[in-house]
Amino acid sequence: MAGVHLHVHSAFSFLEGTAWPQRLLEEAARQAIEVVALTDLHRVSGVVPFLEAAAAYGVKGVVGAEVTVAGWGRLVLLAAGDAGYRALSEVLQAAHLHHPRGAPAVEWEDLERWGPELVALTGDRSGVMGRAWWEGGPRLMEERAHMLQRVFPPGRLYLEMTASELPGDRQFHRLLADLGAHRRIPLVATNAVHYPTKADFGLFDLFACIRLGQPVEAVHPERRLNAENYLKRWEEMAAVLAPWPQALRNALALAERLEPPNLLRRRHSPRFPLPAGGDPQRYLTRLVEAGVRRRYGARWRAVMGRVRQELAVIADTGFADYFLVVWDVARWARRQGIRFAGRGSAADSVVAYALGITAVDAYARGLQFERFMSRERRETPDIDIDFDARRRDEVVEYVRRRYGADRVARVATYQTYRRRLAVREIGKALGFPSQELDRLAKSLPEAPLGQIRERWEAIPELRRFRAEAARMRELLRWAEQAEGLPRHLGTHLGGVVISGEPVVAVGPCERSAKGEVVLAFDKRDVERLGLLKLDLLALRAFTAVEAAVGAVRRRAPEFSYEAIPAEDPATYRRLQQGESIGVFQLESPAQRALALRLRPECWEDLVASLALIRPGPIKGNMVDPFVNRRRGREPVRYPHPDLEPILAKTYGVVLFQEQVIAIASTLAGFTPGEADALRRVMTHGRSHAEMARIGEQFKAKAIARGVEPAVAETVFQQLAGYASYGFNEAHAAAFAETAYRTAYLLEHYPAEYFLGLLNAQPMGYYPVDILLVEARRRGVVVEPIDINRSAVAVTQPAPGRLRLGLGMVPGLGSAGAAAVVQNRPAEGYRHPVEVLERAGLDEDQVATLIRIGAFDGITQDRTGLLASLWARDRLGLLPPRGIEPWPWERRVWWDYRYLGFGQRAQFLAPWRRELERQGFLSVAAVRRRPLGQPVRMVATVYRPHRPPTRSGRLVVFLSLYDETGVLEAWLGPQGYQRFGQWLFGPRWPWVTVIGHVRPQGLAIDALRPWRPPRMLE
Amino acid sequence: MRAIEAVWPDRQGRPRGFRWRRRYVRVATVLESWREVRAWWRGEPELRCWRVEGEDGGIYELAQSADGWWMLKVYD
Amino acid sequence: MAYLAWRLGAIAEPTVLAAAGGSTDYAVVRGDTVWDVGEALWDRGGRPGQAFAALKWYGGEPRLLAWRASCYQAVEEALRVWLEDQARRFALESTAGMAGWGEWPEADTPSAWGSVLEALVPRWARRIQGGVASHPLLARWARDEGGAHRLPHWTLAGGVIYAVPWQQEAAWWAKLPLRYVEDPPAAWRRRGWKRVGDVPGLMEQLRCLPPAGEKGEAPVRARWDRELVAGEERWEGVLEYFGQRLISLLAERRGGVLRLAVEWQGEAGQRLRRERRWPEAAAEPRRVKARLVDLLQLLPPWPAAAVAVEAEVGPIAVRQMRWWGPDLRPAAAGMGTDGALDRQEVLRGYWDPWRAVRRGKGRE
Repeated sequence: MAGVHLHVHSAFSFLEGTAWPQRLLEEAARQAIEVVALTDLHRVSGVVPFLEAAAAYGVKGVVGAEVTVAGWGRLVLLAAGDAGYRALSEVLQAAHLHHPRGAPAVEWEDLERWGPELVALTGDRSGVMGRAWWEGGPRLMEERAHMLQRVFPPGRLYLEMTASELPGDRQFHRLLADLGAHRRIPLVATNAVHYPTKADFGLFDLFACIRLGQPVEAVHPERRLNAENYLKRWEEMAAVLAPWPQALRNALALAERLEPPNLLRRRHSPRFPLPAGGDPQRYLTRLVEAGVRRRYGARWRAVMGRVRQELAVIADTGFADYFLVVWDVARWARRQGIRFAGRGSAADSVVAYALGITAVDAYARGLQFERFMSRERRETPDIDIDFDARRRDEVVEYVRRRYGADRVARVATYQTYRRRLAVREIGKALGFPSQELDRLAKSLPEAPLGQIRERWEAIPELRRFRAEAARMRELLRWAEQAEGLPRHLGTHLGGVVISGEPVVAVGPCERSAKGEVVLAFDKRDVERLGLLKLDLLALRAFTAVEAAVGAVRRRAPEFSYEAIPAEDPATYRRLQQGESIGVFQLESPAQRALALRLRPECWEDLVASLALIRPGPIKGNMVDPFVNRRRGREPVRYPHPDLEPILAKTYGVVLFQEQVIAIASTLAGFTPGEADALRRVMTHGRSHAEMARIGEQFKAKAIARGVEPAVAETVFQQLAGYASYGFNEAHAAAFAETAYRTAYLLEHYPAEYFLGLLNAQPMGYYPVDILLVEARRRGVVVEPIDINRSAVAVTQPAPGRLRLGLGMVPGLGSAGAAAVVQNRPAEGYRHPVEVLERAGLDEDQVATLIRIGAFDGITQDRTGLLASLWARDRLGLLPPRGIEPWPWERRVWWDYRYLGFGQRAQFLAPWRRELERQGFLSVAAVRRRPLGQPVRMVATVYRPHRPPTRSGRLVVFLSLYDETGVLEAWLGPQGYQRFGQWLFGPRWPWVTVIGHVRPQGLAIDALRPWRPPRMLE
Repeated sequence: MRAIEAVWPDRQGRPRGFRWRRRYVRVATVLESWREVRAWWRGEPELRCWRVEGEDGGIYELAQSADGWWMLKVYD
Repeated sequence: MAYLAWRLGAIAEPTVLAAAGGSTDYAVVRGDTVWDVGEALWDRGGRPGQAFAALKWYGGEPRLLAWRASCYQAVEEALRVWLEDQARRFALESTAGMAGWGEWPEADTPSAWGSVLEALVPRWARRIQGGVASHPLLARWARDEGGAHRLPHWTLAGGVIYAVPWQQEAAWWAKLPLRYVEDPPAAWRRRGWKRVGDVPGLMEQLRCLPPAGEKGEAPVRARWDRELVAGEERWEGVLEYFGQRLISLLAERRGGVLRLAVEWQGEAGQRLRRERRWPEAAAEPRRVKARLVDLLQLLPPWPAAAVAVEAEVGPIAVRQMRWWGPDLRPAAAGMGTDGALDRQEVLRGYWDPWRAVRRGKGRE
């Protein structure tokens, strides 16, 4: 017999549900359940996967939510159709936004206002009737029922009976039936489902323990007495609730009446404010035409053909408003002087270029618009813009003001249970000691948990847990079930939706951990719900650029970042030498190694570099052919002459996704839209059968156009091989813009650029210690933190000199640093105790300042200052210990110890003479050695890592540096076996290295830790 | 919990009578029935419980698990 | 000034010393933390409990040895035996290394402290750092950071003792870092509270509570007997009788009930005895009563003429007290650590109205 369940929780109730909506529906279908209502706790966040899965399984999906009514208990609210859904969304939003985060509740006024559109069920034992019964008996139950009836009209309020088989149910159900008869409120049967099957109860109980912060052995009123709250078959429900057939009948009847809202086939375009009677498409066209003229000058006519095509697609797909909105944001940001750049596939569009959203000339580059938008692709376009990290929030605020705070919302992202967290939390609930859990979590290899459980014996890292194997495997069993389930709501980093009508019509907002208002849907669901999303991202590189440009303009006010000359030879020379530490996107060891081989001379080389250094192309063995052809060592060949215009810029190698589209349409006659669809299928759906099918289609069409079968086959193989590895050319081009300009700044304005980088930390690949080494190598003088001369940020007191800032001191924070600066007396601080008192720091913070030499300008007697600090000796009555100046090497030592980096000099600098005497070379000396020479050196290790390599061999890459520079090095598999322990796990940062010089750096033969010959306490 | 010496259930599994402390008690009314999952992580089996009024006037709570029948509590 | 805290270094553990090969420059590392150091490394500043990464600042070329559970058990056992004999109360810390504190009420001069701690050296270790105060928490802190805070100190063979002068105790209490307090609620850290002085009311609580430690003296035992008058005696009366006496004993001894035994005696000389021991001592009256109930509720099948209750009293662990502070709610009776009422019974009590109404009645 077909059944219904109208009170069901999924994993979107966080720790009160254990299953994805899909799994619930799958189980429902299996148990012959025809109607399921998803009623997660204070959320409808699972509604998209729920409705989709319901359709797939042939189950009717109804939408609702369970809420807490302040002071009363829980209430299940069901939405009938679209009006009901809107009401539900309003209620949930009010519950979240009018209460502190983490404790949403529905107030009576909200129920009164929105209740009439909803259907209410009174919940289980934790529901309003259950609590009334427990706390006050029949009289309180009647009072509350009476009040509920004033909100919910007849036919919209039900007294809920659950088949939970709890002690006391007889009495409770009898009272509900009496009450129902007396006040004419119908009964309804549910099972308050929190997990799909009985076997899943364990996970639910463990979740309860995690929620309550208790081990599983503890007791608590919220721990369930039994495991009955699963999707029971209707026969079972009927058996348990046999005395109340009307409850069962009413459930079936109610389920029949309720319909799901129409959420998935809508679009909620933003409405761009136009003058009355204005048409978005016409307005957009005018703007674009003006922009084209501005960008292309005399050549504008040639571009218009392409522009008209793009505008036609935009008109047909109805996204004119979206482009206007983005244009407006870009225009506003420009006026506010906020640095930004469009990134991603939007740069494939000339319209976007003309509107000033991106800085990449898609026409000149021949970029395919269809990579960004096409008629065939039904999805909304996705425009991403990077902003100066400090000012990004201003942009979001602007959008909110412009379109109305109720029509703009940030997008959420679900943080799911990661395996380590799952192991830790579930293990803690099961009573494992935390140290053990810590070790287990860290020892888990990268395989899926299920595999680990099965092959426990075979995994060396886990052998030491052998004694506890049974318990541990049990733990892993539960952790595996929890893995991937949603755990928290977080804010997506930049996603913002703008809707034509209030966002609450699509779903409720709540507060994230940082207090921002977010729409409680994941970003993918947001698109399925028909909302248009814009990614307003924060990029620290722009913060660095802004700071650098500001510093440059203080000396040279006429400097303009936008007017940086293209193709500056000095800039390219620096890049060719691999000297690009600090340059946006081009500073990583892999990029620098590529530059040494590729020797970039022009723009295209930079674009190609950005596309080549990614796991795909490296694995797909595209780097070598590209480099060889570019440098003329291999001949450039095209499988078919028609492909030459497409592949010329990449020397015949298929590097970009846009090229895949162009090839498919040129050779096989696909429309560009179809070709893009093809590309996406090749990228994502890679079953053998599917690829074969696509291959046949491609070849057939190509042959029909006169291409030779063998050629068609070759080309298809190339496409298939590279399709998933290809990079979005527009994205690479957009990044290349910033990469080139930052390289220019690094070349011509090193002091200012390093100031920018230091003030935008943390960012980039390299740490402050290495940035300082590079700055000094470029002749920048770096002055250490001084209590009386430093600001919060790094400043430039004179050309070529930088003064480090108090914001860099650990334990101080920007607030502490600001306090020091703001309360600094005109004649400066004279004693640490003065800082303690005036700036409100604590003793540990001031002690750190003393130890890093911030007071060296006053006295070098750091020990004496510390002593008088602890004794609060403000008048300096304790005699200073001795006023010999501290040796420089000791001050460097203390910088590392208490500041974490070498503000005066790199760690190895004081030891250089001794090291040279012992025959160790510096990095600079190694660089000058001829190739193949064996060398010995002592250096600091940075970021050893084991990336996947083409051959699959395990190679460790690392950076070695000292005060003379940075050298990239690597260690082969045998070296890793013998010396890997010194690089991974707890280790010291300095090593003695023996190796051979190679073009890319140093091939390491042996490695040991190095300790300074003297300790400088 | 003590093991009950013997229980006579009816067709639906409800106890009709049982022997406890060497006395036979016939069940007059079944007052309540419920299920419990106990310390499942230690492998304890589920319980199916009945609170019954015996004809002797006493109130007994019986529990059935995979291991047999037990007396949870006696009220008198 | 009766509490001495110590931290040992260069522990005399044969397998470790063998692995060090006669060198005194070694460190025993467990995970990321240093567990023990050799004399040479100690003298350069290395201490158990430091992060491994900090060792590099102390120089030398210490040999790195991996910690193993079996290593130090023998020493710990021997130390424990000695402490049971010598200290009125003591506790061994579970953090890295071998550290702990003990109570020596009579030791109140530097030489007295010295002679206590010197008994540990070189018998079980060759280095020692000590702290002395009137409360174990202060003593531990003095031991760990006395040097940095320039407390008065005395040298011993193999180490140093720092003492908190009694005149300055209040000030030092305020500065005591919260990490010395057991189980601080996470809410405190979120509020930015780092020291005992930051948390309102905590200092008073800590100073008044007796510090928990393993017993060094003989456990307190008591027994009460009661004749039962047939037909008139009500079970609740019996419970009241024993309950009152037990609770006043606990209050007097500032401890909790660890073990209870009940003995029923029949007219014809029958006896029925039931005994139970709990892992933690309970002092809160409702918990104590619950434990009594648990034992008394099994009545003998024959009419009883007399009943006796025996109790053993032990010290209450400080951790058991829920910290009364602005953020915490008091622990309700019958929850959490109490094992007296059957766990399942308690859980049933949250769902079954029958039990909510008739608490205490019914028996197994």
